[in-house]
Amino acid sequence: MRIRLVLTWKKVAGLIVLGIAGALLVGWSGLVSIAASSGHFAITRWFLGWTMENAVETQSMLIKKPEHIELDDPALIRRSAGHYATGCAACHGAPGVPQSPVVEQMTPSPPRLEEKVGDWSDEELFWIVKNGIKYSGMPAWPAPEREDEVWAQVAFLRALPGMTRAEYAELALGGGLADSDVAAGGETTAALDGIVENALADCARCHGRDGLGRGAGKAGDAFPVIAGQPAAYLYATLRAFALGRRESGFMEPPANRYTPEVLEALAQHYAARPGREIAAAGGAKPAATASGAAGHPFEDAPVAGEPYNGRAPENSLLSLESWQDQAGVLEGEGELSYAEVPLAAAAGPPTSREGILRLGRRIALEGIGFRKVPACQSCHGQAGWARNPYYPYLAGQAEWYLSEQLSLWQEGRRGGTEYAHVMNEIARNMTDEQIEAVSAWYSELPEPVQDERETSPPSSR
Amino acid sequence: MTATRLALSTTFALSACQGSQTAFDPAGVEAERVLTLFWIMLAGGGAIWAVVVGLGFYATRVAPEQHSEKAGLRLIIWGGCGFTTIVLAALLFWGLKMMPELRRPADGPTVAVSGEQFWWRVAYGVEGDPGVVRNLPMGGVPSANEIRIPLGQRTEILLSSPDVIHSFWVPQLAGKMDAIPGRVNRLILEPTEAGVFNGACAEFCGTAHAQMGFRVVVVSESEFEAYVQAQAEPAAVVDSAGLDLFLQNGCAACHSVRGTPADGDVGPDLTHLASRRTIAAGLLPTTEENIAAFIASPDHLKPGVEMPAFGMLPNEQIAQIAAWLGSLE
Repeated sequence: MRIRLVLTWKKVAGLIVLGIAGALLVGWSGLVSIAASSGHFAITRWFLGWTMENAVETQSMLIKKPEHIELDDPALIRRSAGHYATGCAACHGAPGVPQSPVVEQMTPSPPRLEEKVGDWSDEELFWIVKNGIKYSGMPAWPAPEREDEVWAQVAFLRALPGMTRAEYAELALGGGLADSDVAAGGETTAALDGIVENALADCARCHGRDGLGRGAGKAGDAFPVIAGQPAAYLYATLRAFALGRRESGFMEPPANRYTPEVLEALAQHYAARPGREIAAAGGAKPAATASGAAGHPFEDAPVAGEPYNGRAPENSLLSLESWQDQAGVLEGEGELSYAEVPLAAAAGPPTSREGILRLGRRIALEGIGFRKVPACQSCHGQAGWARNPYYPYLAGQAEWYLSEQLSLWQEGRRGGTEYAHVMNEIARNMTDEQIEAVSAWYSELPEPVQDERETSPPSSR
Repeated sequence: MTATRLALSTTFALSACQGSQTAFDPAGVEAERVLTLFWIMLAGGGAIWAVVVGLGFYATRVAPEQHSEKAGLRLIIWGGCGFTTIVLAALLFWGLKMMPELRRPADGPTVAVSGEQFWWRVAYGVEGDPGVVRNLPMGGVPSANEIRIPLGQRTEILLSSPDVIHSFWVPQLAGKMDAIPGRVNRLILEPTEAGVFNGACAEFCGTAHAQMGFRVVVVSESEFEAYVQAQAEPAAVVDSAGLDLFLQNGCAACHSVRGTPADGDVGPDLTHLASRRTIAAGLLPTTEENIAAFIASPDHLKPGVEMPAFGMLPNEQIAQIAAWLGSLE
């Protein structure tokens, strides 16, 4: 017997309504198994896993690792180690850190990553870390704008499989208790109660107790220098992280872990540590390697033929090198814009390290007035007149950190303290070359810059 | 014609916000010529319009019948070609004859004026070389947004810009002249009356273009000399809580106040701010309250302005800075 089935629009609509009603009925019945304890059927598990893998593979297709990022860079690995310890290890475990039986009862249970990261490409790992995975308990990156941080996390994940327990403790746990013995100058901060001590240990896993940042050698500048920064600035910055006014997947979670009172105590602690340049005088930071020549390339003395302060004296105009052209500054800009003689055609940005440092020095000390780039030192110097306590000093700051922050400002994505917007316009007026140069110059600065406008420069002048 | 002229200038004077910004009330030689030219062209244009409309009226209403082809051809040749050629040639001759007179070299001071987003950098007493120049000359006595020039002299304004094209226009004194990056344009101002005249940027240059004004103050020769001399002096008050705050908060990164450590050259020189009639490029009268309001939220008063807002400073501090700036005569 043959059953004749004529498909009509009415029947199709009826089927759809019936299907929806059926689904609602199943949901309403309360009989659906949502228990983690029961796990999935094998076929369900296969299907979910297969779907997830396909989704990650497809959706990470357009991701491209920025060229300047090297995933085996020890500084990058170190930068995200502390975040792994506080954000990831609780579920995924870590070298020497077993997974808790609690998380093993999750469905799906989080894998140990040492064994898993090899299955994914860099781009796929980036996608997973940045976006998280729905219904699995895997969260997205707290600061979606900060892809630089996500790449650092990927670098750490890549290093994870070969990592020993001791290496992990050194990277992520503040090097154990040994580190507290070398708290700067051996001082202890008065009135640090238990919670602050805990919080400090939390900070110290990356920043060290001295605020100069942990790590040595190639990873020596993995973290920004917070030692000796004004307490008001540090506190306002921590609050900005806590309130989401400044974005960072690394800093927002710890800034949210502690109350404002604790954050203030932490700010006070680090403000009281000697800053990097003072530490450098004691030999803690190796001498800059930019120039093999005797003496530092940016001693506070005028370079021959270079105007030192403000506008060039008129008679020296012709003897000036037109290196400013090489900085991506258009011909005739800067202080030479008043020159009657047109400068030589632009030769592109400087390529030698020394040229970059010279440009950086110019921007930091004098600015490029006609590019609307003021001198950084007007606000960020440590010496000279009293500074607004919300302005950090920059001498000895990590190069990658300065350029990353300036780039964020350039794109209008860098929040922070109430003063952060002042930098918006300035960074927008800077070229990438200028950002690179000024970051390089500050990072290699061993001594506080004497403000030439306030005090007379050293005898070399 | 005088009556029309009066009526027109009254209308325009009423519509201009602070009085004197109308080309119908010239106070400078070039503006007078421009106005004369305007009236002549208006009268000529009016006459031509009347004749053309009259002919049309004649051809359609008065004598709609067919005309001889010869007469039509004659009309087209004489009216369409001959008459227009003669009129245009006459106007060209008139205009060209005017030019060398207007381009006569200056016999007065040279003032460098740089149009910048969104204000005017001014330097008195610069040495301007003749010929094609790409950059404004160095040095001079710096000021901003207010230009004093002597009466009865031909002052040369050297115009350039570091960012985009601006246009320098003081309707009562002269025509417009562009300030173009990478070249120096020259404009002669030869005022015939003393007084304060409004100027504006006449080339769209960005968000705050409409708030990029300035004042030209025409004074006697001796007053001009005294003024430039006074502008060359360092600031009057160099010991003040306001100055300390000015330096502490980094205002000096962009602004110069000569006689103090403030030597920034990004924004206007503030050494004699209180001697200028307006702040923020002709936007507001120079009062302490206005200075304070501008420091606190410049972008509110002048959307698109490049100066960051300092409203996060405590009000008392802003007031102290404003009081100090307001005392810089």
